[in-house]
Amino acid sequence: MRSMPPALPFDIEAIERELARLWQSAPMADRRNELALSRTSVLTLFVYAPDTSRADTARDLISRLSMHHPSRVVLLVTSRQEPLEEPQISIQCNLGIAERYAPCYEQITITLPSDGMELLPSLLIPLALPDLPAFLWWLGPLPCHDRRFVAVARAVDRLIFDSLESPHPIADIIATRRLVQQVARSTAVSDLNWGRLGPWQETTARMFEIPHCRWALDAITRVDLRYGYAPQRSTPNPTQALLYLGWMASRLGWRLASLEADGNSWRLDLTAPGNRRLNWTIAPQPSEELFHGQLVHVSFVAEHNHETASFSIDLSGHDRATLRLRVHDRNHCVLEHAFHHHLLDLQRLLINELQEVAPDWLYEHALDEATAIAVEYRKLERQKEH
Amino acid sequence: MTVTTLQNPLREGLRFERLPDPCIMVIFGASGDLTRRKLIPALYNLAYDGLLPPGFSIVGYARRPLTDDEFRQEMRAAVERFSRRQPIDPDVWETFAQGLFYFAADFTDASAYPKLGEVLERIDRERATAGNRIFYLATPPDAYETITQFLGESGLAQPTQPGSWVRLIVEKPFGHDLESAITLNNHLLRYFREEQIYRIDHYLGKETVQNILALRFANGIFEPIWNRNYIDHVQITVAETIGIEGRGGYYDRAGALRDMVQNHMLQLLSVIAMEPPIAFEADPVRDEKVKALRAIRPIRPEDVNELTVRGQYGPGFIGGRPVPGYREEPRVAPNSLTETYVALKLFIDNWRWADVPFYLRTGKRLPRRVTEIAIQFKRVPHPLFKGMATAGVEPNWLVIRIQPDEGVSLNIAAKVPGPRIRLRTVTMGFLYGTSFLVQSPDAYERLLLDCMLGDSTLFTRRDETEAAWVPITQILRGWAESPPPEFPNYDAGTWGPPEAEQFIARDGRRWRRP
Ligand SMILES: NC(=O)c1ccc[n+]([C@@H]2O[C@H](COP(=O)([O-])OP(=O)(O)OC[C@H]3O[C@@H](n4cnc5c(N)ncnc54)[C@H](OP(=O)(O)O)[C@@H]3O)[C@@H](O)[C@H]2O)c1
Repeated sequence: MRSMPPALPFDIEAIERELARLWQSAPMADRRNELALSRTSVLTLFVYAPDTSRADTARDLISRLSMHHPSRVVLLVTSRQEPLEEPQISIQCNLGIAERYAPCYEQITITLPSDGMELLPSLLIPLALPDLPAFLWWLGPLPCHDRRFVAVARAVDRLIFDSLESPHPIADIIATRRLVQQVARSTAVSDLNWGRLGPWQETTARMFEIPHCRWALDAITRVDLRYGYAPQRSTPNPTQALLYLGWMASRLGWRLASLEADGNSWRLDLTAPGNRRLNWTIAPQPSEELFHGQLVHVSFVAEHNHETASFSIDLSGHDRATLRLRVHDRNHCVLEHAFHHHLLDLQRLLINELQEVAPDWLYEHALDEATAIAVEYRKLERQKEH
Repeated sequence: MTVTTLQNPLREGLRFERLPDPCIMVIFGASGDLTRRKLIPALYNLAYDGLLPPGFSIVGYARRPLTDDEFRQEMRAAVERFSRRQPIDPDVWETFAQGLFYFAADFTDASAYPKLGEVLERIDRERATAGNRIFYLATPPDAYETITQFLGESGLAQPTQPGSWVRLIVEKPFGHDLESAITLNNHLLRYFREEQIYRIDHYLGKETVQNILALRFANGIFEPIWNRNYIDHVQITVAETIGIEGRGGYYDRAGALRDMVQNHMLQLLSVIAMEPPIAFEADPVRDEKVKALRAIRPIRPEDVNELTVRGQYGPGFIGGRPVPGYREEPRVAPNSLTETYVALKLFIDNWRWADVPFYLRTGKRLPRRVTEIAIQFKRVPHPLFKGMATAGVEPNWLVIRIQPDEGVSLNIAAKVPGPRIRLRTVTMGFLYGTSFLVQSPDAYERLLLDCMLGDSTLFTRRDETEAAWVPITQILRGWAESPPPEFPNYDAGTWGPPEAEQFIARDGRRWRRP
């Protein structure tokens, strides 16, 4: 028999009653400072934290995000302690942002039992503000293999997770794609790790827009890609690299022809339209913890008749937060271009995600291609095992 | 959207949908104040955010002799001082500075322009800028005609490569009355086509205009009541606490009417009053704005004193500090008759707005910095709640605030809880800045980017500038024929001359306290 999770020690409606009471008792203006408290509702943000350390990360980020209040934030924290704590409900107002208004948001913290997956939809649905989009930001590994999670994802409009947290990257890519398909009718799924690729994709698109480099897009012969691997992590995480390759393959009609793996270094042969062959290498490169799983270098070689061009994109600068593009023409650098990679910052990344409501078809297509490679890799692994 | 955007399959679906073509921006007046304080910091910020294309280059044009490296150093100092992004990112700066060049010449030297052309061609070859150019006139207005004439005569005003473009950005002031504006337009149009000309009004670069259009035309509830049947009157206020900040030479010749009303305030008026455009594109939007401006009721010289109030500040206090009067400011004539405050009443003679007054006021050294458009709706036709119950209840106001705290608020009457009927006004409001989790870009950044993208929606078209000069020139004429005003007539730190209160009180209305 299946064991049921314990019921929560409170009534959901009591949360709404308490919020109404708080709004009523809040002085409608801070008279001393001539500030009007203002409540604007844009969305509901649910944040799920599987442990207290991630809950602390979430709290810190929420308090910074609330400088731009997302109107209602519900923090769901799992706890192993019994009995569960009562929910905490508050209204937070920020002085000092606007001259005459203090924007406010509601914050609710609910403690869940550690096996509370099944309870979640019954909290998400009633606590979401009517008519406004509801987002669920899932910290920690996405339980994409857990069948019960489908109902959780379906309870919100957008699910945000981070595949950098993935303990089994290859298997999780495949399971994530299944989940995306299962919830497609109700919920858009976004991966923060895909979001971080934005500036890389932009730079890549840009190099082929430089007037004398346009020919190179149809003449790429080699791509080398490096992603960070922090020595203290047990396994590398190639998800971002695979999504980048998946994106290019889906946009340019490349198909995987063969895959070889030497430890964590991969060599892929692809076929481009017109039966052109090109090869990719994807390999981890020792890095600081911050760049674990993140692209750090991409280079392209394009050859056509007697012309050759090469491009490289690197993370540079003292904080390695600048993307720098170099365009070479037969070994001498002809053009450089750099801009700030603002999406290395989690807060900016999350804000970016909260602005999107529609599904991201570009991600879905890239994930399809990345899944095809992951499936191929798994086959290779199995063959080796035998 | 640019042609390259559509050809590149990697571009589709990316979040930076608008990336301009590579181009060179030639800044005339590159050693001046505007370049240092606004233009270069805005361009650097665009580069930092990744909004400029690879190869983007700038050629600074001014008289004083500087090498490219000296110019780069000066511009770096300007960015360190005036950019909103601090500290400077060395990699971004380095690649941005690779595209910075300096060209020393006098604007009046015809032989300099072919040489400038050679420099631009060399940059095209080295940095793949493909013949695309923007000429930015950041110069004293008396240089506009010379520069454009020489650009035209040296063949630089028109594209030379297939598919490339050439654009011209003109700063304010655009003429000093209708006649000079027409002359300047005719001159520019001898060398450039209208689609190439981008007349800057940095107010349009604020998010405001688009916010007003979104509020009016993306909500079903406002447009049906946006007319004379429901609106009593409109007030547009642009109040500044600052004085003239060392720009006495310019301001004393211009005055508040030319400096604020002709451009910024009439732009705001036109977006409030315009009919729905058929598309959110440059020409349809500007067509409707022009129609609204053209419908402004002509002002006869003999009516000017009834329809306007002028003021000039004397000494007073701002934020607890004493400040000098206007006539004591540097480079201002001690008996100056220039207005630093103006209030006026305009009517828009069309079906929508017949007989609805639009009150505009602007001034320097007023007690608080605020820009807002306030729309007062008519009172209910039959007062159900009488006497004490309604004391303190204002008619409904819809207020579109532009600064500070850009946002929208609506005042409504509500019943105070309890057994008695007592009504009070409550404000429902929202702030743009804190509702969407993002900062609005700086106005110059927005406008420079739009010009590179070839989007002229937020720039003023020839007919718009001229239509806006019509009522202004009528007022200037009326003032010239009236006896000189007795200035100063308001103390710094007050809401303008007492006549301004009487002016609106004659119509049974009063200024809102913004
Ligand atoms: N400053 C602002 O914040 C601001 C705001 C809005 C609009 N504007 C408008 O922008 C324009 C420029 O204003 P600004 O304050 O930057 O003026 P500014 O500081 O006086 O600068 C004038 C520039 O023009 C150059 N110049 C003047 N005569 C020249 C000539 N004969 N040949 C070559 N170069 C010449 C000067 O270079 P040299 O010193 O080398 O001679 C200098 O770089 C004006 O139309 C102004 O109304 C300015």
